[in-house]
Amino acid sequence: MRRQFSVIVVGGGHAGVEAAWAAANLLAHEPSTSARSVALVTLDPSKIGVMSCNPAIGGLAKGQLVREIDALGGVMGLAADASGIQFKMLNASKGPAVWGPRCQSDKHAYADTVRALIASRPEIEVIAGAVERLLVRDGAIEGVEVRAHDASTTLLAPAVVLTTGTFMRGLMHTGETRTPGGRVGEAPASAISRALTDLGFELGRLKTGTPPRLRRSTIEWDSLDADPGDSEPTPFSELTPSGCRSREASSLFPALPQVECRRTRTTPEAHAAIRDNLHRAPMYSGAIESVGPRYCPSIEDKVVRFAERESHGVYLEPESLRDDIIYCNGISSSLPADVQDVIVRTMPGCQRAEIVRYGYAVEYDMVRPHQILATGMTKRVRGLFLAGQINGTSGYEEAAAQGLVAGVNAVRHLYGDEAWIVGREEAYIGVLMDDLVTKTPVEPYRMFTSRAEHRLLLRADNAPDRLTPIADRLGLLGATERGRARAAQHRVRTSERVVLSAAIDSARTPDGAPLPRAILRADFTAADLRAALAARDELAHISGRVWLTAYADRAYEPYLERQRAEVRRHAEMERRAIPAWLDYSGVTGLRAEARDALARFTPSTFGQAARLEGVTPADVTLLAVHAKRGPGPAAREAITA
Amino acid sequence: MRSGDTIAALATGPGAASLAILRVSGAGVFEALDRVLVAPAPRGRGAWHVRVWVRPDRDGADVAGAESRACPVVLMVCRGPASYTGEDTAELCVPGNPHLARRVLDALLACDGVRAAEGGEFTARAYLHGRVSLDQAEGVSLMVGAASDAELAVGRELMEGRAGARYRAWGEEIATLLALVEAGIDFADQEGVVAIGVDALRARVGAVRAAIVGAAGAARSAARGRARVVLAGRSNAGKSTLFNALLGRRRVVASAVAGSTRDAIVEEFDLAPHRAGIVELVDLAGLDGEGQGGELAGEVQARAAGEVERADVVVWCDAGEGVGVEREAGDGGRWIRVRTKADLVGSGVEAEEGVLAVCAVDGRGLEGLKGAIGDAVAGLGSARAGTIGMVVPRHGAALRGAGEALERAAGLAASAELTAAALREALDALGELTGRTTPDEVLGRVFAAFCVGK
Repeated sequence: MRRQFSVIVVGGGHAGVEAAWAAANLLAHEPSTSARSVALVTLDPSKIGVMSCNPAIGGLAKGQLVREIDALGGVMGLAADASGIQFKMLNASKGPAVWGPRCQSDKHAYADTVRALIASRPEIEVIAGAVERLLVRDGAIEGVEVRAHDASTTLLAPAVVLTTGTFMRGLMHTGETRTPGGRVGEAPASAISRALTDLGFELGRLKTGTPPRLRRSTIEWDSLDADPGDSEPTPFSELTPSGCRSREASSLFPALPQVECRRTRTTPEAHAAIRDNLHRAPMYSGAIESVGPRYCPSIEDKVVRFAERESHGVYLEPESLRDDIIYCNGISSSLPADVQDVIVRTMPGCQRAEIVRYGYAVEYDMVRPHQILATGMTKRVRGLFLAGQINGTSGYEEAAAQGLVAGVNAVRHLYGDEAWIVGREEAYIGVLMDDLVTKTPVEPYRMFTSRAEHRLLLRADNAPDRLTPIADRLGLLGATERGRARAAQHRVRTSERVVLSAAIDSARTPDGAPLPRAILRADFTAADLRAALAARDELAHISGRVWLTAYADRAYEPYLERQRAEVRRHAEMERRAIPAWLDYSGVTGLRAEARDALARFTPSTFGQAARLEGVTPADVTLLAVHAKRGPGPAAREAITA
Repeated sequence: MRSGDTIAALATGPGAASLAILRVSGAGVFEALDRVLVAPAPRGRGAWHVRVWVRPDRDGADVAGAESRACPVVLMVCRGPASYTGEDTAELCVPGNPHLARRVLDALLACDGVRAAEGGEFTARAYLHGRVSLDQAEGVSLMVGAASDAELAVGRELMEGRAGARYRAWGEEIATLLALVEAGIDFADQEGVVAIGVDALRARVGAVRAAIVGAAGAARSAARGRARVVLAGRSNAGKSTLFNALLGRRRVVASAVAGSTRDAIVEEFDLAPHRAGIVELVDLAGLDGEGQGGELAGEVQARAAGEVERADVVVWCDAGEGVGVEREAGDGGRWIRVRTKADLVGSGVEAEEGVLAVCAVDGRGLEGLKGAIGDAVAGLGSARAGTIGMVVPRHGAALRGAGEALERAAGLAASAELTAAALREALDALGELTGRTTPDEVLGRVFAAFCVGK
């Protein structure tokens, strides 16, 4: 059987969902139903939107990503707001540029919300099955072959997004036990690895891990220190009402009852047991050779690397309101079950805890990301896009961001439109995509605010101002009711910002200082701003979010101007394309290291080239000199041919 | 600049000398040598005795046989990439006859693909090919053009990479501080990550800032950081006459009418033979105090007073009305007091102690004054005359930029994200000199220092 779609998305995780959603948002403009068709292919449709590891969304830098996804009309913020059972603004004691909104979600409610959202879209058809083959002709993708219940179906589309997560040749380790699979109880996807290798892609292997889950009723819950959420939860989505004074609206958020977490810690006893059993840990016995993340180390890694510490903190986080499973944040482990028993049962409050599921490590294939463009499309196969962990990243938010970029560019590819590339100065999403195409991943890539050199510009609060106009231009908003509501809401936000800004310009503080000057003082807070303008009735209806942005924009203004100047200074070189005819082997005098890096990454712009490891400013100068000379006779011939 | 061509140039100075050296670099070196040498050029690294053709002038008679037209020279061959430029390089040491050297160079330039090197191009190629860093290349250029001991010292410091090493050490410290601040931002949710305290951060930022600011030196308008020596005094004290006499030529209009000089006149002044080095000699309008000549004169006065403030050495001229009374306390070594028009005082009259008697008309005391200026300039010490930032303007600007950013960082220490922004700026400013520090490197430091991750 053969079926035609506009876009095929393979994988129903956080990347796949955003890719299908964004493609649907763009294709919704199509007059004919046959063109409004996105296939979402997944091994098990009931697992769409599942949170495989920590049941949390957002956090430092990740929260900014969620806000950006939301500003671009994505799913993640909506699902998090609908399912959050604890909301917390991380870094709230610091400046708004580094605030990180985070929530813990009811993992079942989260997946339900995502599935309901996907089901609400007539453009998206969910297809169950395993991708067996990638159909490629003349360097362009044509579709995929899907196998389900021993029957094969051929799905055709000019654009295919692969989001395989940890499933490509997934192998799970608990102690000496190894089980093929991408997630407990789920089979791996092996055929895609082979198909990609056959196409000439260079694959790599990464590792990640997950901690044991406990049964809450077996923990002495109340004996442990509580870790509550914010008393005034902040939603992720601009579409979720916040700071509203009406009783009706406030009942919408948070949608679920809020819970507390508990804190406990590992003990010297457990550390001794870990040391005694290191030879049984796959990472140390040699069973796992791939590299795990430094920022999310397993408890055995922590004990080895920080031998002087006798204890590490552990957060006990409820996974859902519907069951009593507790996620042990801090003791990710692939040690054998008997050692995990010791680790858990020596933690205060957990002496009799029942381990519902042991922690495990999972190894999986990735496609080394120097093989994609910053649009998500592979350099090797036109129309084939990769997003999420397949590109060597870690985290739901990083995956979702790439899914959105790939989904948008899949449709633009279909239309023959110029690809959408997000700048490092525009969004964390831009930093993410740029890092992927300029860095060699040595561990799963995770976003940090320190990766963004223009951090003061890229705040969670101003994500809509930065990106919603772009979403509108791309066509992500105009064709759906939700999108139009978002656009309308953004117009309100924009006008409120203008009104508030004018009010600030004309106001003085109680002690007579001009407000624009006073706001620059280090001790002047967002609350002071509201107090200074409390008497202005016409500002009473302005939302708390707009107040925050107004405050941050003004308080950071001198520094923002400096960053903008920096962006302008590098803008020309940053976006200047490296001509396609440029052959690095023909650039005389290029150092071997630089030549290798350039040939491997084939950067699209001089900005990307300058960020490659092994490429010095002198190399970039040499390249620019060479590019200016124009193509030699051989290259000219190749171009005209 | 075009890379890829083969370039050739005379490496030694013009004029007769015992030797002249021609340098050739690029992919076409050996082909070119084969055309100008009597036998095919040796390809191996080392020094070779070879003979070079000296073809007759176009209109000259070919009086002797071919053999007599071959001149023995020494050929030095360096193969790329282990050569100075990173390319195949050859040097021809020919007898130092300017005409002969010119003829050999012309013969080289006549070869296909060989062109005359632009100024500094050999070093530019060394830089592009990663043989020297940018700061080392600057050191080379400074060594060539140095006009003082201070410039030579800075040139050597740059060329030998010592300056670069210092910059990198400062960059390391700033990157470490940045990593600590970033850890406090990005891993604030982790127990066990104790970000650096405000006081400790201020202290360490202050220390590295002091070192950088010291190297930057004061911002100087003078190009290449030459010491500025001003002739100051009241109107009609004979400053302009002295100025001309010191320079040995008539540069400014000197007249018996008081106040002929209104704007500062600046000239290069060679201290030889007393000292190696060139200073800027400045002739100023007379400082006459207030109340004379209206608004315009007031402005002239203010400018002149400013010049005296900024001067490295002040030569205070007085024709006998009372020498430099207003300005001597505390200014010690940079203040030279001169009794001008010594001929009018009559011979044998010793000026008061510490005052040099000079006469621009008969030249009396001029050499002594020159020596005193040289001593004063030398006495300024490295802190004033010879910091790298003062000698190399690009470095001065970058170092001052880093210093200012660090000052902001210290001031903002209570706000992590602003401190980080300022530290990054400081790193970027230093990065202009040494190469950038990437966010990955900063994160690497965090991971090395802390147990992060839940």
